[in-house]
Formats: sequence, structure tokens, C-alpha cells
Amino acid sequence: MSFIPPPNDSIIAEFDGIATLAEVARGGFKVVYQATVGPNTEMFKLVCLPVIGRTDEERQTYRNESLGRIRREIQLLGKCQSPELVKLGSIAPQLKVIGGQEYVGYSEEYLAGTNLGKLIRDRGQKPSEQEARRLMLALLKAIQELWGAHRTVHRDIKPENVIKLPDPQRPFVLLDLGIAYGLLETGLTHDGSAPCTPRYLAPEMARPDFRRDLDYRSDLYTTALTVFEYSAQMHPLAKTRDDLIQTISRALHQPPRRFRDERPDFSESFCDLVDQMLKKKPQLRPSDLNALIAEMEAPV
Amino acid sequence: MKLYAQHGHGNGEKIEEGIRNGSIDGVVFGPKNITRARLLSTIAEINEVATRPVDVLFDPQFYAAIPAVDPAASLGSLQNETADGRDYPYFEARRRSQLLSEKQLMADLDATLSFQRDIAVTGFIAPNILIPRSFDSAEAAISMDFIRNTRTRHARLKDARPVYATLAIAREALLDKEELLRFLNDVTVLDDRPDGFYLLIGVNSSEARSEVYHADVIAGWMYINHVLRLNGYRIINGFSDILTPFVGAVGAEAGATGWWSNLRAFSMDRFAPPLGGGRLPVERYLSCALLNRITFYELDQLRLLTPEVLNGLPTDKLYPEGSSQPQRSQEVLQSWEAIRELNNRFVRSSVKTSLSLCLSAVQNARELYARIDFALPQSLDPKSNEQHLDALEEGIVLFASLAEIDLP
Repeated sequence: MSFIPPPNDSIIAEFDGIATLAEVARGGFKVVYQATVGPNTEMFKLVCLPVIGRTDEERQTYRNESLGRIRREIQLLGKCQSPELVKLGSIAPQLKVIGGQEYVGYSEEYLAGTNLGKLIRDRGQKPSEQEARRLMLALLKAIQELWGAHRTVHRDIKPENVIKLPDPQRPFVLLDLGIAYGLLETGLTHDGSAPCTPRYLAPEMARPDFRRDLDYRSDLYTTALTVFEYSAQMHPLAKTRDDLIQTISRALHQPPRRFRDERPDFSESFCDLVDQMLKKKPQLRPSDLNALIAEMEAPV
Repeated sequence: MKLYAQHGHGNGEKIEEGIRNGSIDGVVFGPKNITRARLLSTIAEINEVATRPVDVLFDPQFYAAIPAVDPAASLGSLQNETADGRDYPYFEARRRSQLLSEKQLMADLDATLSFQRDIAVTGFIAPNILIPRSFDSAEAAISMDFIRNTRTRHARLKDARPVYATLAIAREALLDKEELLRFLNDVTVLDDRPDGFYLLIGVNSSEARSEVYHADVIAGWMYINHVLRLNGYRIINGFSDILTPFVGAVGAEAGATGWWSNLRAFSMDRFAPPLGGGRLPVERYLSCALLNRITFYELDQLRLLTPEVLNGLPTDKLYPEGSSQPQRSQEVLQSWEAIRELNNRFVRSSVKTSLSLCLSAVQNARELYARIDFALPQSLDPKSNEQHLDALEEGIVLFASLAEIDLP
């Protein structure tokens, strides 16, 4: 489901500093624009505060949940130092009413690259092991910052949220902390459901009480899913025509394809690591981030 | 994979001999059966006879602090006092409620680790108590507190030697897989990680073979090793005896065994008030092919009927043809060499390959037992028979299922 955003002119009129806007992507309640802000290009995010619920109380709950999520994403982005995580832009978050509807707008840095989801769909040349390891390394470093410094789980690592850049110093950047979950915070999805993309659901997140034991190993799982899918151009579990129940059932019960079967040209040790990170039980996923990062940094 | 001597009563020269002939890679000392002065001199002797680096570890046996509240508890040198003071001053009887106090727990951690700083160990073993029946217990919470604080208290010593947290679990606790998984989920995401674990699986009686040879116990023991290794820890298994190669197959760094049955299985009954009596056990031979020990007189018969029971290793000569009775003090040398041989046969870099080798060995043992059954006019001694094989096989299969490994 997508909403219809207000006209560009209305947005430009409300948010100081924006000269031009070009829509890049649209989600359920969010539109991402490429924006000209003074002399710079930035990514401008406009998030609609949904009016959902049968009663005022329910509508207020949804609104507060959305606002809390946006506030948290922005605060977290502001604190993160890692180049593997997207940075905030020059437009600070502002709550605006446009055409009678509430929106929050803010900007992030512009990343002149392509998201991995598009690269997978385009079915171009599959990446080399070296590139796949660089992807793994970037995501591990992002996880290390999120967990090590902020006790936060991203919860939505997937190809669509990773940008590939033509910069050897910064080859991959992780986006969208919108559903990141800090262990010390209250859960912001009021109905207790797992707020992630079902195809990229860590098995433990399908449990009703998943928040009790949630930690960064869920992100390790989705990192492995992303590396697998980017490298093999094939999801290790999900099938395109699966419905939601089938997708979740596969995540919970079906052993994933073996990475080595899909990329026999990759080293056995790297394939084994990806396979191990895709285990259903979090404790079976190697969790020593320093050791994992060192392994990815070592020459092949 | 390394094999250590599990030190206990009546060492004599066994450890030195094992080090000298290269059948063991080190030793885990237990203070109950050695005075501090003797401990220091034995370590010096070991280092003297060693032709390669050996690991010297000291199990502080802190888990005996709980039964030590019983004045009749058998604590040996743990309570030893000399003119210079107590041999092991870190050791005090503790009630469970005392260890619920963080202050007391930290003090015990500090005292136990500080004691080891002054002896020539190659790694520290932190104190802990036994998780007796369930991971959902006060003891498990105390155990977790010891583990969680091991690294930070060790760091205060500013000592480069590695530190191992003790994880001592009664076999009964392994029977509830859900609780085991939950506990391991916590252990594997510690903020301050020890270098590894000194893992003990406790049985009620070290004489009860079926307590260890139970599919759930074997699977749980292997699974703990596997999970901890995957998460970057080094695991030393105390009292692992013949299961050493099986835990090595899934990631253990070392196992240990000794010369008496109470050094081949970990049991708190070592610290129970002594009952008296008892007699010396009959000498046994560890057959790699049978994955079991048989009595020397059974060996004497079988070496002619089914010579495959013999290992073909140098220590076979300690069991001479004609009687097959070894000198009692040399029995353990044969055990160490046989377990070392099994380690070499089973432990590979791929867990899946190692498990296949383990399963093949179990199958081969079954076939050999069948031939023995056909050839031997009488039944084997109950401890010598093939009852362990079902538990081993089921344990490996159950482990593979828990570890999400497809066996071929």
C-alpha cells in the first residue's frame, strides 16, 4: 500500500532550503526524494503520520508510534559514526501539516549508488567473493556500531536497504533505521508484531515474545540473507509466489539452500560462514563480531 | 585436540610419565588431593620433564563450597592448614544465599583468580557452582553471574594468561532442551567474554555408566561445546574421558581424564562424607575399536578371538600376552594413548566430517561386539558390553538435529 504524497510545490513551500525534488522511492507511508538543498544534493524523506484506527485513542496511538519511530531513527542516525551507516543531511526533522495531513520531513546524505535490491532484480554480473566479503564486512561494522555503541538492533537489513557506492573506501552503506530497536526502549509496534519485511525475517522474530531475547544475532541472520541473495541472485528460502504464511513458515522451519551450491566458486570457509549465520537458532550463529570482522578483513 | 590429565588422589608419577611420553598435553590439578607445596613442586617437575610446552591448569573446585557447609564433607587439602596459613585460602564453605550477594560473589572471584596468579598455571580457571537440576534455578542465576563477571575480574589482575569460566552442569539439567537453549542464548552474548570455558557435566555417581551414556546427556554435552566454539570460545572439558573425541569432533579444544573412576566422570559425590570400604577396581584396557574399556582378563581372551580389540599402540605392551594384567599405575597411560588415538581419528576441521567418522566408529564397534558375542562363550562384564553404543549413536543424531546439521 502506498499513499499519494502532496505536490512537490507544497512540500518545497513548507520546508526551507529545498530547491527541487525528484521522487526516488515510495513505501507505505514514506516517500524518498532526491532534493537540491542549496548547492548540495540530499535525500529528503517525507513521512506521513497515518490516520488509522476506529477511535481517537487508537488514532492517537498510531500517530505516537509513528512519531516515536521517526524520532528514534533520527536520533540514532545522529549518534552513529560508522561510514557504513547513512548520515543525516542538513534539513532537521520538522512536523508539518500539508493539505490537512500531518507529515514529518528531514534529510539524509545523498548516496550516489544503487541499492542491492535493484542490482539483484537487474540480474547483472554476480559479484566476486571479494565484493561479497566487502558487503559482509560493511554490514558487520554497521551492526557492531548499532549494537556495541547503541544497544540497538536494525531489524530490517535487506538488499533494498543497502546502497552500493563506487567508492572503495565506502563500498556499501546501510540505510533505514526506521524500525531499529533499542533494548532499553519500549517496543513501538503497539500490537506486538514483528516490524520487519517478511522475506527478511529472522526466525526468532516470528515468536510472539521475540522482544524478550532479541539481540544483534537477528541482524547477523539478515546480513547473511542479504549476502546470499546478492551473491547468488536468489533468496535462500523465500519464493516469489509465497504468501505471508508460507514465507514465515519457511523462515521458521525450512533449511536454507546451501550457499556453496549456489556459488561453488567461492571459498569453502566463506560459504560455511554464510550458511552458519543462517541457522535458525541465534546461538548457532557466530556472534563474536570482532572475530567476524577480522575474518572478513583478512586476505582471501 | 588436546588431552589433559585430570589430577586426583594417588598421582605418583603418572602425570610426569604421561607428559614425558607425549600422551597428554597438560594437566588439570584439583586441590582436594594435593597440598599447595606439593602442587608447586609437581608443576616444577612437569615443566622439567616436558619436551614441548604443556598446559597447566588449576580447577579451584569452588563448586565444593556448597557441600562444604556439611562439617563431614570430604574436602581433603582444600581445608589444609599449615604453619604459614591455609593452603587454599580462597576456599570457604558457602551457602547458596551468600552467593546471591554480588559483593560475596565478586570477592570469591577475586580471591580464586588471585590465588592462581601466583602459581605457574598457563591459564586461569574461574570459580563457579554446579547447576544442579535445572537452568531455571537460583544456582543457574548464580552460575551466570560468575560467568558474566569472570572477564572483568580477571582483567583487574593485568595478567596475559587466558581465563576460562567454569560451567558446571548436572546431567539432569541437560534433559530439558528448551531451558538449555535459553541458557546458551544468554551465555553466547556476553559483553565481557572470557577466553573460554572449563566445562563439567555432573553425574550423581561416577560409578553409574548409564548416567553419562544417555542420548540426551551426550547430545547436550556435544551441543554446549559446539555452540560455545561457534561463538569464539575455547572449551576445556573436565572428566570427559572416552567422550573426549566426541566433544572434540564438534569443537572442544581439550578434554581430560584420570586414573580412577571419579576422575573419569565428574560427580559431587567426591565431596560427600566418606562411606568407607570399597575395593580396588579391576584393571581395564581401553579398546579404540569398542569405544569402551574391557577388563584385562577379557582382553586376554579376546586378543586371540577378535584381535581387532587391540589398538596396536605402544602401550599395548603394558598388557602382556599370557595374563594381560598391567601394573595398576600404568593403566592410565594406556587410556590416555587410546583417547589420543581416537581424537586423531575423529576430529576434523569439518564438524560434519567428524560426526560421520564418529558414527562410523560406533557402527564398527557394533559389528565387533557382534563378533565377540559369537566368539566368546560367556557374556562380557556389564561395564564392558555394548550398551553405550545406542546412547552414543542416538546422542550424535540428536546433537546434529539440535545443531541443524544434516548428517549424510
